[in-house]
Amino acid sequence: MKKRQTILYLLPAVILVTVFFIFPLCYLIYVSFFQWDGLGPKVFTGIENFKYVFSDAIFRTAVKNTLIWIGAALLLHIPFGLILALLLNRRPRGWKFLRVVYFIPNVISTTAIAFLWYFIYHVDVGLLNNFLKTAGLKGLAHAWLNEPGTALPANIVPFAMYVGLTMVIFMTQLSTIPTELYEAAVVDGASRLQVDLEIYLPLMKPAVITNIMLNLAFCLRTFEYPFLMTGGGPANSTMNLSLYIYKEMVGANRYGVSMVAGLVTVLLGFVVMMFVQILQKERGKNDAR
Amino acid sequence: MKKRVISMLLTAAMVTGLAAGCGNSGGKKETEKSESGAVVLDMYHSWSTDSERGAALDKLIQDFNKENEGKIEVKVTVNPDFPAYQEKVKTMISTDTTPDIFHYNFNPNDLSRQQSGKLMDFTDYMDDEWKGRFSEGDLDNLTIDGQITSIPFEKAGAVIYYNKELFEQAEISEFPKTWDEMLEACKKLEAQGITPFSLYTADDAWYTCNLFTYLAASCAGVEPLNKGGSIDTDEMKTAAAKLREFWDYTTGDAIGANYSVAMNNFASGKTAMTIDGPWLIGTLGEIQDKISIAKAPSFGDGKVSETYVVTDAQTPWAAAKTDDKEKEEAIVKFMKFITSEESVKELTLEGAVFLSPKLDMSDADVQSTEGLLGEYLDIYSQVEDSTVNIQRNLSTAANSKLPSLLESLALDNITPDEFIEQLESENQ
Repeated sequence: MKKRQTILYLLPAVILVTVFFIFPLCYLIYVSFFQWDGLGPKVFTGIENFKYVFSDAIFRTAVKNTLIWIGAALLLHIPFGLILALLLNRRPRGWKFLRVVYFIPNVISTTAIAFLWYFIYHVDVGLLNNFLKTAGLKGLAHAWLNEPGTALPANIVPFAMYVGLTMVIFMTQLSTIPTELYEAAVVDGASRLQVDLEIYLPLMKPAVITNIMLNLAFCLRTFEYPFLMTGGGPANSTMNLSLYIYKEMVGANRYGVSMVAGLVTVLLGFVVMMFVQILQKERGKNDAR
Repeated sequence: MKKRVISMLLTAAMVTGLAAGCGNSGGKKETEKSESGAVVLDMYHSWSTDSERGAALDKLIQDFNKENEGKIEVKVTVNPDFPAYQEKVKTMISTDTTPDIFHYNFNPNDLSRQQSGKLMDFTDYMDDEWKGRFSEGDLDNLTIDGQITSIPFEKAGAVIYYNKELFEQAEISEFPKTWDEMLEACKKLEAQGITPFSLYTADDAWYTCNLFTYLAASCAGVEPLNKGGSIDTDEMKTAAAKLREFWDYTTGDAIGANYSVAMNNFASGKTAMTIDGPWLIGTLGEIQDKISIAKAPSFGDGKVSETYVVTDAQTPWAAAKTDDKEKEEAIVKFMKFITSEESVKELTLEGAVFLSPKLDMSDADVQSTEGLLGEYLDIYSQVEDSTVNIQRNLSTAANSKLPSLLESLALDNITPDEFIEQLESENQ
């Protein structure tokens, strides 16, 4: 009876995962062995699409840029969110207001934010260049989105606007830490910085792992910024995996090639998630000790 | 027990729903009828009613609906973002939701739409009278595997528009006749703080490709371009080198900009020249009096005639395949109406569109057309040589790589020779 109930409860989830993940994944693998323009017949080409993708310099740029996005998430975005959470956790005046303000970009359309930044960076009418010119720093003005050296960082900067979600996850974890630990540390003469580093930080590992997972997922599927702000250019310098998949499928009508790139993205996501799982297990073992 | 039954029913309903969602209609659409019993035709096109040509087309559709009240009703959906529109049409064809009537850019190297088996064949309806509305060449080009799945419609020349006032400011009294004179003129314009050319690289990089095709036609003549074949030739490399020189005379936002940005740069008087179709006239607004149309320069070596023009691709109408004879006949009736002499005249004079179906150039209204459209028709009536924008004959894969290759050329990441070689390799 209990077993039947368990199956019944699991069934909807199993059906959804099968229909929306397993089937598409199998189809993706199947199509990756064909030359197909999306309309006509599929022509079996074996591993030709794989050969093409792995020898394509643009694909390598896309992988490199995706890894740079991930690097920015791990080294800048998450630490930034953590610092904000620790600061707001000290309950400075207006902290509730600031918490809302930091979170607001998460409920605004990504397209709107991408266009906002497009106009901030615009070479002639952009806010940034006009500010630099007004401040007497004309020499620092750039065609931010049109130069290969600045286009990718310019694409990544708006990512910082989403720090609110990362911060809220950290704050949620902080709220679960008993205040007695903080009080005891203060009685023992610990400074606020010491409390943050020695008490709060070690106890926030679950939130760190959750944030890593969420941010990695964001970086692997990020599409709007390179698509709307630079279209992957100039000269492919802002191309990432999501955009490569889109361009190969919709632009070049090479569905097979696009599916191979999609498969690489899935595998990359799988490897990264496995790594996070290992981190989580390690944490479990350390906690048990 | 009751709860279990309900959960099982819900699960079954969900699975059925999913299965239904994955269903295939077989590529043929059911006939929709309006309340009055009229056959409803879903039309999808990209001409916004804000533009002159969109307004002219909209008026004609309304006239058609009025004429056929209770029998046929054409319902229109507009997507003015042409590159996105083209992609959506392809997706609609592949998902068996092909619009009843739509237009698209014809590319002889991408016959996926025609060969999808989902487009209506007009061959049996193409009687002598209707056939006489089109040039033989246009119909031949659109006859694929013995089937006429597209009806010739828009085929406009991209001509050079220039801002007379800005040219006067730079003390250029006469429009350049050779490309070298054009470079000199660009220098003079720039010296006055005027950006000479509107170019862009995003989407289809159409302005840039128009300039490139003019340069290529000047170098090689139109015949080799019209013949097709390899683009890896010395003439094409020379044209690419010249294009690189002109890149120094465009706006700072040209890399990554799209059609609307580049067009607005010209329409707002920020740039002195652009190469666009007749539909630009309707969007120029107050600045129209300052604009003129010029004959394209050459290298002065006689490779091209004095009046040559680069045309855009043929943009024909097509329709979804249907088993319903009544619907098929309704589609044909609309197609005959929209390509009729009266409709073509109205679209040209009111909408500033240059169409493939024949226009009576001796018509008094056509001859008395003034302003920019008059200039356009005048130049077009003198055309001796023409060639299609080079990108319209490239493969889809090569076209998709064109923006990044143009950007690499502009940024000196690749040489003009490498640009041509890489484009040729993508075009295989």
